[in-house]
Amino acid sequence: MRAAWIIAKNVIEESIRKKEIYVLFILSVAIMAVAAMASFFSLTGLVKYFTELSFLIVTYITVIIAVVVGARQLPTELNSRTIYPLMAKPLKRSEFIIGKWLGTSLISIFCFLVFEGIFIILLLSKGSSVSGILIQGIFLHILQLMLISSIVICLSAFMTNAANVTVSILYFILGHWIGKAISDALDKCGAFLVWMLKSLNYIIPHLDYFDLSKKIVHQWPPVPAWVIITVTIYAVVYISIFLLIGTLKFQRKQL
Amino acid sequence: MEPVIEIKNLHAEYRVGREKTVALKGINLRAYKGEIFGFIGPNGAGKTTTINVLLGFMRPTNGEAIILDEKSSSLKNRFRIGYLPETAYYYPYLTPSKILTMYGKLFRIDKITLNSRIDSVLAIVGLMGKKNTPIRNLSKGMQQRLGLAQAIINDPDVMILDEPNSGLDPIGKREMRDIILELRNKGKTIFFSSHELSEVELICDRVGIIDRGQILKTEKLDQIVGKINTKNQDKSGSGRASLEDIFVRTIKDKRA
Amino acid sequence: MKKLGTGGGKHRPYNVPLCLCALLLCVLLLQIPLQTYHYSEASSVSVIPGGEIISKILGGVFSGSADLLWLKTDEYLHKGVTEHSHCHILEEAGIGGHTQHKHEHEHKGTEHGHELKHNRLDKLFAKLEYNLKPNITEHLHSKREDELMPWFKLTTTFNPHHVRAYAVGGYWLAFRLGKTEEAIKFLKEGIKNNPDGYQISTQIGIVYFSRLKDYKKAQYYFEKALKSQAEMDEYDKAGILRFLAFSYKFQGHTQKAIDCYKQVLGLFPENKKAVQIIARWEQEKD
Repeated sequence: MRAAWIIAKNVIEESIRKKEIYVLFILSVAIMAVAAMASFFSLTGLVKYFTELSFLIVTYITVIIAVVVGARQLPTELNSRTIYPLMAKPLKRSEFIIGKWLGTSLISIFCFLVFEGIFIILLLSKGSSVSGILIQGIFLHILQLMLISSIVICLSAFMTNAANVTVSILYFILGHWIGKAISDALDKCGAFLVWMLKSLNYIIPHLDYFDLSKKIVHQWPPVPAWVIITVTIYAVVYISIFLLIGTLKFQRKQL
Repeated sequence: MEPVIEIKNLHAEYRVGREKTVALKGINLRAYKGEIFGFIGPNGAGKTTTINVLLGFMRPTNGEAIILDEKSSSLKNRFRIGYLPETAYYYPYLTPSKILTMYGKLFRIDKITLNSRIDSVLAIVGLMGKKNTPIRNLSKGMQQRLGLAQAIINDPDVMILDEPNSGLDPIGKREMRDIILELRNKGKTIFFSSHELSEVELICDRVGIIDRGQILKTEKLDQIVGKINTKNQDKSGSGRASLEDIFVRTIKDKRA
Repeated sequence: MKKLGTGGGKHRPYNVPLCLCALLLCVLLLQIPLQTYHYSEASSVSVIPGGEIISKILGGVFSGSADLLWLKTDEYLHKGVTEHSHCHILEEAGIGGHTQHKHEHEHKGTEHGHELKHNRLDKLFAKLEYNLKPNITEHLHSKREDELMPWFKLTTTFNPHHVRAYAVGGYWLAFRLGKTEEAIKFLKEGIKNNPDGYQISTQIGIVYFSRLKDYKKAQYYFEKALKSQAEMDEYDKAGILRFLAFSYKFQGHTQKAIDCYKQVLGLFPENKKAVQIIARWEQEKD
């Protein structure tokens, strides 16, 4: 796994050198600042609105970072042919895939924690406090970033950068609707389609399990520990599956 | 003599879209310890495909390639192999020092040894002054030298060099040649693919000529050149033939 | 020699159909929530000055966004619980339902091993959803009702023709938060954007009537509401007429007030309260 860590560090180094993260950073901080300062009908101390908007922006921007950084890894290595000297070294293809996933996850998690830090400072300045549910929400979003990174890295073994970004972003947007959409569709379908949809329901990871934003905004008490543990296991299982598929595909790939 | 590289009945093919191309049609060759093996052939002959199979980038459809008693797909022998790709492909945002550190760590070289080795390989390729310059700011020739530096960072026993002179100016070519000869003198085995037959002629001990996925000749350089020259002298008494003449004649004879 | 290893740049014939399939799947999946999604009276009118065409090209993006923001007010009012409650899932899975129901499931499961396994998985997912999403309807604490206001404002910013947002927002501002001046300003903005929006005129009339006791202005806005060309529910009309009647009455125009109540009676002849009021005011007049 040392080799995977070396690859991960290179992903981080590459991301730091590129400008896009800084642009997204400025954009999200600007939106958060505007949201924090916005005034409606001379009302002060509107925490929920600020929390909702900030969490939404931070969630989307960090997912975009994970998708953009992750999707380009393999195609760029192949196009710029940097993969040749790299794969001539004692590096397993599985280590390469895991390293790319780890790097992508870490850079998006790092950005997320920085954004959340800024958000918490602004939140405290508005007289609010850091709740247990917020901590849980942060943890679940970290899991979500790791899961999305694994999906993106897996897809990068199958498709081009642009196609991967499109599919991944669409999946992220729709991933929160899948459970609801399928359960609604079940009433309107025949037996075979019901079976198909139910299978799809179990196969596709439900991203809404990683979204505590509504509970955070509306200041609900923390969710039970077993829920967090179950969702963590759920994420670990799916991450492993996607990394395995990505590795198997990459192992079969002729460089 | 023990072969360090042994290729037995190697077949390989690749696809571009739906089109399948048979790149290697049962090639056999051996490279022995301490020699410089020149692997020559026209464009599309199968040189890079052979190297790709040797390094495990491609799987053969039949036959096998063995390096240092291990199958080419094995990771064990990678610790003892150095590879220089045809053109420099390195992360432009890194510096020579950082990229060599990264590659060195993949070879599991400890930090102290790695630091001193980075300095020594950069000194060998003449890039010590550019140690901390981003790769994107290096000239093509400098990047090719860096390629050689990364190929020798692990002090390999076998070096696979794919067109090492590509992008080098005459001085660079001369320096590259000197470095390769010095490595051979240290007992390294060098598998050298090139178009530039004059370079091959100057440094190789043995050559293999490949065309359309088949090996046409594998012999010691002086033997090939000697045989042909003897024939020429017998027939016409003209001057000595160069490797280029021999190469062109061999390819034309086979294609005819 | 043909260069190998340009993987990312290779022609991949399956990429285009794959992307198309993904997009089609997305569209299909989106259809379901959108079919169940209740649009309000939002129109496709643009918030950009002179941007009608742009708005049409964008396919009502602004009004669609405004509708989503409008739903937020309901979500905020109920502590994050939306109409898409997951309780039905729980019942289906036998969680939180009646004990008898639960037993039925278990019994069924023992007969069909496969079904039991399936239900248990469903049950686990349902339990997760139940815990991860706001699950119990609870009204917003009165001290935090101000949290609703950004969503009213944003709804009307995205769709200035969202009459309900103006009317309801005006009510919350004036009567729940005590921001009468802000309410009038907001409602006047609504009238400017929706001259025929009788609900807004009515609401501003109520604010003048109840909060400021300015019956003359109240009378003006109630009359304006009644002149609206928009289709008006008879209950709404009766309500406006009642307010207008009292506005007249408090200004001393008892006959006008009686006339208004007679119109209410015309709409609802069985309304005993109206009969009583008319009788009382007739007596007072005499």
